[in-house]
Amino acid sequence: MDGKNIRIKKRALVGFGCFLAFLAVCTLITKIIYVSGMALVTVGNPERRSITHNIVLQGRVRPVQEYGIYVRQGLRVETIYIKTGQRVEEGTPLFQVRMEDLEQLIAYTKEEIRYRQALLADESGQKKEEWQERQDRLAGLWEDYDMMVRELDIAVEKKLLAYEAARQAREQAEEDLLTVSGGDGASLERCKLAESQAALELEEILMQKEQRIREWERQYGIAQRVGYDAVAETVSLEHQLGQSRDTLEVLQELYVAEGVVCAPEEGIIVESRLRTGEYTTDTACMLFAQNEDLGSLEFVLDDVSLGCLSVGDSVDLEYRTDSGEKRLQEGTIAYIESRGGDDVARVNLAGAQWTVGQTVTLKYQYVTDTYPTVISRQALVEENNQYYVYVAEEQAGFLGTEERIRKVYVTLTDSNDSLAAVESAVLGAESKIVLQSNRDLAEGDLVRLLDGK
Amino acid sequence: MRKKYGFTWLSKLMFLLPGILGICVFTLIPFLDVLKRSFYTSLSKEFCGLANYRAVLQNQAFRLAAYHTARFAGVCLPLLLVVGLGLALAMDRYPFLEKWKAMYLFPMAMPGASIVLVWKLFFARQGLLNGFLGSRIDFFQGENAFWMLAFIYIWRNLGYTLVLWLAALKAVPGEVLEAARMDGAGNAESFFYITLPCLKGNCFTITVLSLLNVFKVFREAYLISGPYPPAEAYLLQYVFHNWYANLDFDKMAAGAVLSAAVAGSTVLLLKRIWDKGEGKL
Amino acid sequence: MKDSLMKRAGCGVRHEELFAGKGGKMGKRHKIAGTVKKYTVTMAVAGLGISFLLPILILLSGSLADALEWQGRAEALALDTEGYVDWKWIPDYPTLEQYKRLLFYSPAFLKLFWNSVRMAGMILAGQLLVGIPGAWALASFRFKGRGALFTGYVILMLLPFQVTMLSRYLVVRQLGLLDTAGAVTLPAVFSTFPVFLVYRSFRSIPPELPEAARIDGAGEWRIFVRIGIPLARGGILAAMVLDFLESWNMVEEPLAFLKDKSLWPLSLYLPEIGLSQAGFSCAASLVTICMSWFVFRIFSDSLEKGIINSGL
Repeated sequence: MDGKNIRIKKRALVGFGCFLAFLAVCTLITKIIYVSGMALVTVGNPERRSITHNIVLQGRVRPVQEYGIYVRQGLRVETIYIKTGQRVEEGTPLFQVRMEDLEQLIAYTKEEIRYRQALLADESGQKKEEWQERQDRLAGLWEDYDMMVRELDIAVEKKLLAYEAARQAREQAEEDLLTVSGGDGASLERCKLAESQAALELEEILMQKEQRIREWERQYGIAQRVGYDAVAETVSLEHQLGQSRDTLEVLQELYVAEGVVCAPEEGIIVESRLRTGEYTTDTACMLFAQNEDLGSLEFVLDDVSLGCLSVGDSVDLEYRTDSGEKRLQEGTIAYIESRGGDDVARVNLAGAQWTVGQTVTLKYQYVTDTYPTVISRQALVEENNQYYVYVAEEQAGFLGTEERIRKVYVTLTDSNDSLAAVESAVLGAESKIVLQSNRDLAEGDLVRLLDGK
Repeated sequence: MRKKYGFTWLSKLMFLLPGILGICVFTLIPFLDVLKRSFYTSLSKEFCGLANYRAVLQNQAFRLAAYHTARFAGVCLPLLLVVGLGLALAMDRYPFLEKWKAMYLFPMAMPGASIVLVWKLFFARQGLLNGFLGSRIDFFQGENAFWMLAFIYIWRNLGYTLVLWLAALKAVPGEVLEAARMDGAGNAESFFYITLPCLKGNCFTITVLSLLNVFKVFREAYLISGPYPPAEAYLLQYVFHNWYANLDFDKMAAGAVLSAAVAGSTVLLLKRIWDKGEGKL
Repeated sequence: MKDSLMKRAGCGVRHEELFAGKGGKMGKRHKIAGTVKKYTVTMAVAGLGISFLLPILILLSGSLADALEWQGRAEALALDTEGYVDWKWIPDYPTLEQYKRLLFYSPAFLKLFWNSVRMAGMILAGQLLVGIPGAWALASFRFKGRGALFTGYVILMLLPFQVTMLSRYLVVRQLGLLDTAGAVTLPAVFSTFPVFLVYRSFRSIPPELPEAARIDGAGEWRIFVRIGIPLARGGILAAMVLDFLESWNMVEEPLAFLKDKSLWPLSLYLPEIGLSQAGFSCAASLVTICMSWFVFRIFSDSLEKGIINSGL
């Protein structure tokens, strides 16, 4: 009896051992699964500091006055013969366009002219008919007018005469009444009535005449206008045709010159906006000045530099001399203006080493005020024009203290390449902001911190 | 000879010392501190004599809880003992039934926290018990809550009680019973006049242990109903728990001393009767 | 007279034998009546016994139902409508998903499980070291005030935790043990419950044996180890089992003394799972019970014998 008991006990013990071992294995597996779900992140704290903006701008020495050289757009630039700052004489070749493109463009323009002519002719034909109709209609209207006026005049005459007669009768009746002989009130009344009746009729007929004339005028106006629309269209077509002819002329000239565009007069090339292999645009392809009078140094500003530079700031100007040396000189910003959508800063030129068209690099370092919350730029994530960062927060639970990820939306105040100043009600000096992570994060994730500080 | 006596005395002491030390630190000293606190107010730390005791005895919640705990003990304990005895008698009569003992013992092994969910499911208004009975009794309110706790109590402790009774029954000597039978005593008579008196000694031990288990019901009751149960299920520990939460430490201390006094006097009473049967300890 | 009646040695003749005789004497009618009675009693006992296992079956069935089925049941419970929870003993869509989740995707559960194992182990070891010798001393040494000491032990044992909760908290905090495992294990190690249980076992050893050993010149410790422990082995095992169950299931002490959730025992994890995750809770409960069941199974006969022997 006891032996059986012991055997049962032994089996139960073995079972118990297996149970514990099984749970130990499960624990291990669970841990593996759990940990493998955790991302490895590096964190950093926000700092109180200022941000340094290193402004580097390219600008050009501009002449006092400059002109633009234009070509038809759509031509491909093959070779550029000159350099900026180069002095040219009248007829100096500036650049050459590809002949194939030129030919294509010429052919296209010829087509265009033909098309427009045809259109015009068509239009003209149609328009001629319409015009003729109009003229006929107008003539007819005039005839109607004459007839109508004649009729009306006759009627008016009649009524006028009637009125005259009635008036005379009345006057007579009045006279009669005044004189003692034959005449009575009744006939005077009759006369008066007749007079007023005649007056009314006269008025009526006059009004009628007026109305009918006006009606005629209206109709005449309509008939007249029909013609004008047609005229306007034709005029515009003719204008377009003229333009095409002009373009063709220019292109053909260029063709004759073998695609070489030459300088129209003596001067200096200030800026070339062309690049080999690219197409010309409808803006000026080159700017040139007639003389060497220096204007000023101009730099086009972007949002960041606009915020940093102000009038009176002292900036560093870097340029290359003819021998290729790099030189540095200080300059001051004279003024900043808004020109055609761009913000431009001007630096007055001092010293004799400047030449028109010279490229100059502006260097300026601007240190902002201290921002309360500055984080590393790589921590910032953008989504739909909103910025946010991930923050690791400690959380105590069954498994001890763990780090959990929270998404915090921030407003970006300022930034440069490596730092970003943000505003957030939630971030403090102790916040652990996620800089790098070895996998994508989401709100609520558990992570492991890599102590990389 | 002296040396040996001294040595054994010291080694004997070593048996007891660690235990007593620990008990002192973790049970006795806290209790003495509680005793001290019962005479002071909790906020201002002034000596106030028996004011706390008076407050406790007049406290509605305490009286309610004391009444219901006593009622619970008074109703469920005898119930448990009787049912246990009945089962033990049956198993004694038909020994082949003893293998069912394990099933009755099993509930004792189940942790309270694990069973709470089952009880909630079982006793809910749309729960299993109501479904079985076709009724819609709300077991978590009123009188029904009391019987729910009673059911849990009996379920958990029946096996233990059963084993104890069985052991006690086995110890009743057969010769006396046989002698009684020879004299013509019937089943009932021999039970009441012979078996029962023999069980008396054990009865008190079983009672004490079952009383201890009455207090353990609190755990499951708390897990099921939370800190504010219905009145009929309002046990003593709830009061303490709520006093603790409200920082009424003075009342808690007084209540604790009172409970200890009651428990102590019960034990002493039982011991006296027990000792009488046992002879010297 | 009562002394002799209460003597453990040599249990008497079984009752049954007395009654068996009756059957033969009275004849067939009694036999049939007796058989009927036997079957009804068997039915009653067996039926009650099986019904006692109902909660386990509920847990088992619940753990095999997936979250969707439980959602339906939870809604029924929450809405308090007519009708009953749609309980299927075999779920409509049984699945092992809850177990998979429990065993592979619940690091908290497993961590707390090992916490509990560690805590129970430490408590048992501590109690063995501290409580058992104490019980031996109370049982077999004769000294003044022994009775009073023992009574003190018993009274302290009966105090519910809430009574000394605050003061114990202060002591623990003073010792700097707050929020460590020691806050829970140390008070439990010095609990008087095992002393009480094992005391009776030691009492049942006839005093002549240690006396004889003492005369032979054996030291107290050797007597304890060589005589006391082997003879009271049943009682000790019984006490250990009961202690394990106590430690495995304790709720109030960790709740009061451990703020750090990573130190919690398993018994505090289950109440945190709400009804919405009932299936998962069932599976977790079953695994928790498994542990107790194993211990129980291994030591159940010792438990019984121990209870019997110690006359508890």
